[in-house]
Amino acid sequence: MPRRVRSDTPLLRSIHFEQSTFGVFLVIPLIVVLLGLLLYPMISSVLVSLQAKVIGSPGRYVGLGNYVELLTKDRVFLEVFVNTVIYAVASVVFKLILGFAAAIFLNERVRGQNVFRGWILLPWIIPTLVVGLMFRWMFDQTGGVLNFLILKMGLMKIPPAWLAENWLAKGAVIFANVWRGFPFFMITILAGLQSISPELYEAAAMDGARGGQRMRFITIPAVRSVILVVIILSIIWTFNDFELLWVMTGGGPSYSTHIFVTYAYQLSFEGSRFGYASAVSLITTPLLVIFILLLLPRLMRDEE
Amino acid sequence: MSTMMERAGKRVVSFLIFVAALLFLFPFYWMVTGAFKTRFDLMGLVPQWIPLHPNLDNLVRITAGYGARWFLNSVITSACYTILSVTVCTMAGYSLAKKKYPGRQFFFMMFIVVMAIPKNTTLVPLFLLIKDLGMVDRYSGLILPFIAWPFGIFLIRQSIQTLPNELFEAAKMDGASERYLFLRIVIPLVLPGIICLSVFAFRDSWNDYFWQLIALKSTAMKTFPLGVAGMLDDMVVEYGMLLAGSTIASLPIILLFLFFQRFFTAGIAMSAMKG
Repeated sequence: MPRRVRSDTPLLRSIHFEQSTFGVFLVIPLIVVLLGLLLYPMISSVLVSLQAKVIGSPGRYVGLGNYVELLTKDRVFLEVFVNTVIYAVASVVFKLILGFAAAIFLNERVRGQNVFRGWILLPWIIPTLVVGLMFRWMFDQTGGVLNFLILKMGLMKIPPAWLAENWLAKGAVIFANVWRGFPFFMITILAGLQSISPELYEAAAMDGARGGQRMRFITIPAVRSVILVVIILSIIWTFNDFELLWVMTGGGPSYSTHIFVTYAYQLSFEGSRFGYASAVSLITTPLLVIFILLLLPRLMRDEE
Repeated sequence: MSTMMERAGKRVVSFLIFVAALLFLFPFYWMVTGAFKTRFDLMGLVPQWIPLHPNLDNLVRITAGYGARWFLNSVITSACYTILSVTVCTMAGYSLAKKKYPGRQFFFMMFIVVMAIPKNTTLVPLFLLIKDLGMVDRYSGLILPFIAWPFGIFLIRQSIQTLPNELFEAAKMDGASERYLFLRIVIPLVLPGIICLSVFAFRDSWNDYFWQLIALKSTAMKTFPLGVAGMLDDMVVEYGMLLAGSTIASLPIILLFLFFQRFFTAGIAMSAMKG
């Protein structure tokens, strides 16, 4: 957007001078909170990660010791890293497919569409904790509805213990995450679809473009940037999806559904190894910063 | 002929979607009906698609224990958080959108970055900090750390930025004071944005679990979701109580959503449509 043209008139200049004091006044509470409760913890998080800190006693600086241990000795960390990647990638892929399909559908005129558009957001608005409990109950080995159906349909003699086996548990938490998260994809992609002018499609139809071509040359380019933003946001969120995992499996069985954030929690608040836990949290930061940098130009686009 | 085919095709699609929607909503149905089933019925080998002995036992037992207190804690926390964070965000959003002073752009950049950095990275030091400040197990410790909410500032800033500068100029010429301008002109004009933000703030606070798990220690101070999740640690996990608790925990949010659906959808879309 072009800079407002009239900002150099004398009147406005005088307003800006007055405004600036009031403007600074308005932003003060924010600065106080940011410095005290955000910047300070961030810096201290780095410092803590360089210490062998157990609660109740002052930390002892060990340099990069925590990081060295993490990267060379900690086998669990490697597993957790792989889990996080699997969890994030699989979730995002399924959410994207489902969300895109649902958005395309809701963008057409089909009966019942309005009702559906409202209800589809439900999984995304209720507490994640509740989603976790719901699925924990449905995946339950003996009382769960899923295993009942498996028995009833005779698919298996002994139905699996979904949340107690490595890969099944991974699948179950991904399933729950997708169920909870794809409505967000749908709603944002739908917003993108609705910004496409219908005339574009009409013109394309007139020129004899078929469905597939319209999709490829009009629809997808139009929503590409929205999709990119949604994917990045979703990856960042999935990296930090503590609640669903903690409630459904607690990171288990063994460490098979632990991701960085649950592992860090376990180390710090259950094992009280604060320094080491901080290192675990911080080591993901470079990764996230890459994603954030990808996002930044898009979010700042309307700046002068 | 082709229109008839088309119509029939649309019917089929609608039907398929209807089935998909039912499957999709099944977990909700299962949760709510589960809340009304007896312990025996819940653990039975044959699940009851419709509760055969519907009763309020689970709900009563939850509210009889600490449930009412937990619910109150959640209401207090969420209400205070909403008011405080919306105030801070509106003030800062206005300042960042329309005021000129050195460092403004830098601040805004910083918020965007902070918005993307998950708060989990700083939870350990934040916990140590509120411990030093004596805010563990208190409402203040739950509320204060997060009132400067980057998404909120972002949202308000965006809506204020669309207000034409001429408006401010005109009001100035008519002798409006800064305070008048902010309270009587800006706020009413961006009210939809503020409502949207309040709804989201309330939801975020109500749905939070991770920070509450860290910052609260005593049973009496627990928020509702935290209290419900705590039942998972019991020797025998009672799913009836868990499902009843989950239903109660979802209810305020679902009501909020039904009343403010338009704002919800707009807000969600906006958070990503910026791209």
